[in-house]
Amino acid sequence: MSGLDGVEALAPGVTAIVPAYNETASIAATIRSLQRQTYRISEIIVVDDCSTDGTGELAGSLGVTVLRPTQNTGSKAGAQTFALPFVKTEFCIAIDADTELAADAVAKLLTAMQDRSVAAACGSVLPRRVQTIWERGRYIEYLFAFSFFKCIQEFFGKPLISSGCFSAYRTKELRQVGGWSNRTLAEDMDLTWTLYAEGHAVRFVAEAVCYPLEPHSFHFLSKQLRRWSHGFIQNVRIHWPHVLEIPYLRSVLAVHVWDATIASVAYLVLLPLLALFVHPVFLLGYIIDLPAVAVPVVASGIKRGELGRVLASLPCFFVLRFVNAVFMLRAVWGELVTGKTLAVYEKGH
Amino acid sequence: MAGLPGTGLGGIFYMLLVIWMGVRETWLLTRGTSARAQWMEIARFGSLAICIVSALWFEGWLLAQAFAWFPNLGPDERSAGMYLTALAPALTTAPLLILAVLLGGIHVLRLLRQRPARSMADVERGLAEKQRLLA
Repeated sequence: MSGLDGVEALAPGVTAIVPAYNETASIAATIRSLQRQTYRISEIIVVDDCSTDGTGELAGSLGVTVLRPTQNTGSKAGAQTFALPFVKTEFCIAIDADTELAADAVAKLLTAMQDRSVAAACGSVLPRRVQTIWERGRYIEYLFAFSFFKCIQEFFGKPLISSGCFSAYRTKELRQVGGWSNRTLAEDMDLTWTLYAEGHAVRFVAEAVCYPLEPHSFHFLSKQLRRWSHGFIQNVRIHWPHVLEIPYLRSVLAVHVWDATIASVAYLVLLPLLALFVHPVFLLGYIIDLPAVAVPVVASGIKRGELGRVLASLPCFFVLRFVNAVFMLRAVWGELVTGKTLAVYEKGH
Repeated sequence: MAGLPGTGLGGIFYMLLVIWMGVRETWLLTRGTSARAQWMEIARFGSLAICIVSALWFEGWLLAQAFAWFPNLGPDERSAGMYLTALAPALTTAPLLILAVLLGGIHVLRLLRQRPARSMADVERGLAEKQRLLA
């Protein structure tokens, strides 16, 4: 990819890249959380992707660098990669324009980057707002993932994805792989697995926390889930030959693919049929694994002083899981059966 | 979240990984490369895993009690026996078997995808071509 060869020597420090399209409602809070970091960020670059609501002007008024492509790049990947040639520091972080960071989040991620083999590092993600059924379901999903599964993936040195809403990268290695690609709708997954294929390490730092805005309505949730589910299948289709050669990662991905596809069929088709034609007791199958979900999230909730919020949000997880299964099967059908690949990037808020 | 496990296979897989964490770290200990921080992680996730299994067992016990107290809720006694006979392996052995087949299958896939070994004649032809291009 032209302009990304990084011939110019990189200075010590970290640059933040914030892709933004019509983000006036949230970008100021994002920029301020970057400016308040315990680790001083050398430069904050906002990529105003041809917004029509004054996002670029608002960002500029807060003293950050604003880049504006001549035309909309069409995706977050496009906007982030647009900024990459302008990064002059050894490290860069990519953060969504609706995401706030804990004050020490950048410092904690950069500690993991001291290992020269590490090309990317990510932290924990928790919804900033936990009010609607969808936000509550997502809250439990994230607690479950970031307090349990991702920690185990990290123990074996293979976090599955370096989250797109907030991750740190070694600029040189990021440029070498061409930045973020828009060949899939899940550019963070694509980049993570590309880095693994190139022999780099990726780390997960549970203590580095970010707080994005999650979809509060079904309308926005559906856009996000469409993107995520199609992105997942697109990435599996592209990367499976390389992932097969990476120990632990191949096993983790195989199980995730199974749970996303076969388990979704069982969830949406098998259980209702059994309930209808055998006995309604089979409906218990939708919540039979409640202890497996509840134990880690309750433990995490107690640690965070949010036990009440966790208990109130637990039922919403099972509703969201059902919806996830619907979107995943639709994505499998579209991407693998009918060949109708999803290419249009739609924001989730 | 795409592919978020939590039911059946994913849950079992990660629980087995917790056991494997201990096995691997024990092996590293014998080589003198184990770290205290790793053992603390193993203790943390081991405790969670034990709590999960205990909670699942308790849930099963509660359900059995509920069906005993409220027979109309569950299948009749004769059907219950049939379902348990059919379901018990489905809930225990079958997921482990599927996981073994799945993980074994990816290794078989790897082997099938490996390129066949080149013959010496092919290697020599390749070297000769390379020398010609460099000349």
